[in-house]
Amino acid sequence: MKTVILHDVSFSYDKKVLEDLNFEIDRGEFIAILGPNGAGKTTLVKLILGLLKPEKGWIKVLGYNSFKERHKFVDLIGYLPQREEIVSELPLTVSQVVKLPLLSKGKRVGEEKVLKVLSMVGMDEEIAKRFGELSGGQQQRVLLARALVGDPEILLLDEPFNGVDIPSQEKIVEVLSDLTSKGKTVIIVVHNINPVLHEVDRVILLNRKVIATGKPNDVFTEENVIKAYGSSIPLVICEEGYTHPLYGDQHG
Amino acid sequence: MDELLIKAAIVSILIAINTAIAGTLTVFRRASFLVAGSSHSALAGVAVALFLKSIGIDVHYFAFALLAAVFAAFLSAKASKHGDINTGIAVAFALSMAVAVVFISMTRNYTSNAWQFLFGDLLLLTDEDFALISISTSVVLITTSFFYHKFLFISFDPDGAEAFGINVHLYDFLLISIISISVVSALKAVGAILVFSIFIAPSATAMEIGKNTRAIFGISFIIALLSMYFGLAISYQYSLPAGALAALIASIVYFITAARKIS
Repeated sequence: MKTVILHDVSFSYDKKVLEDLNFEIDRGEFIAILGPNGAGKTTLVKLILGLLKPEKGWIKVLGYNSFKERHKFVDLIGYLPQREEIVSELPLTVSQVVKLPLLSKGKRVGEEKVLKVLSMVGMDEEIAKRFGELSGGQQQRVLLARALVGDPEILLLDEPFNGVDIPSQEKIVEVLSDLTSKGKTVIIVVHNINPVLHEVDRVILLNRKVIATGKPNDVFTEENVIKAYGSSIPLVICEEGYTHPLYGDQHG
Repeated sequence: MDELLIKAAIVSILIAINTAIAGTLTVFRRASFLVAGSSHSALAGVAVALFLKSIGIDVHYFAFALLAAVFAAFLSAKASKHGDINTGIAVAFALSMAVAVVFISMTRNYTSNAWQFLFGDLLLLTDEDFALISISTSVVLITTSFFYHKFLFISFDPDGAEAFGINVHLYDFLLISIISISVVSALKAVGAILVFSIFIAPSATAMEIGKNTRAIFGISFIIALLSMYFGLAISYQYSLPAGALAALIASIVYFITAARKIS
């Protein structure tokens, strides 16, 4: 079953941001959307979430038109926003942060449910702590738990590894892999794919258009990298046989 | 005990409730300047109402003040859609002050009324003012309790809230409107200029020492109430303006708390 379908999707603000995107994502797939700064990654996330209307083409999420029928699938998507946009000075506890999405829709959330999702990300012992007092990596794990609290079919994560320590990165990747093995679809938007490269099923290399899509080793070729980034990036094959792009921080 | 003093004591409780709710939500929303913007916009509404009264058209100040404050809230919410909310507030602030000055200068025999709206007086409230503050405080309390989690969510994580299906712009406008109603309800009691310190200083102090949201609402209420009670007591003894004294106490408490935290 296809969970996300993009058909000839284009979008512009003042100038064209995305052009003629066509791809499909299957149920249970682990997908990484990768591209340089300004490639249109966050716009693509907003289009899939139904927050923006495609200028051309259409997007289907779980069989519904993403923009017109957003209310039918919004509870089935767990979203992890970029952490930089969050106001962590607010004196919310970890428990409050996890409960907020459901409480703000008038739904009750039991402590057991909160503990369950927090233990999945290894943060159950911090349940009573203030969110703002946690490290960047711990905050990101709590936000992942928040995305999971509604038991979503699709998980959409926007730059989940920004400012995150290695143990937290590993924990996040472990949780995401586990979720895909249970049939959940995971779409992760990153500028640096290396923390998750071994686990993803497919990479979509983006720079306003889909430059390439497929297994990491098929996507990371000299030609595709130059098309996406405008310059050559060293490609290194690791012991397990995966091709890793060794770029500096392209995210500005 | 003096009837005026009892009334002032009860109004202080109502204003402290407004401070705890609207002041704290404003600090959470990182838009402290909003209170100043709202109160000065309300002042423009009051100035228009006073002018109309001076030329024989009998209108009530509250409706005009509320309309002006909510209009400024609307402009601010629209501005926040495209970036920093404080830019919208600043423009609304300047516009409303210009309107206020023009209309007050065109108004004859009502300068003393304008003075009360500028600096307020807890001891000069009529029964009608008392009723208006009570009703608007109830509206603020009920609306906030109904939408509390949405207000918290859009303040904490607007992108996340939008993705989870919350209409961020609608609830942002509602939140700003609630803050405006609160500010207008306190206008005659503490004045357009001093309402800022009565609303923001207690909540900002509470943010420094409160461990969680509940504690912050509680501490903010207590500081606002005690500031006004001490202000009233000193005012009663020495014939000084109670609102100004309350603002002074609330501001000093904030600076002491902030200084202690730094050291």
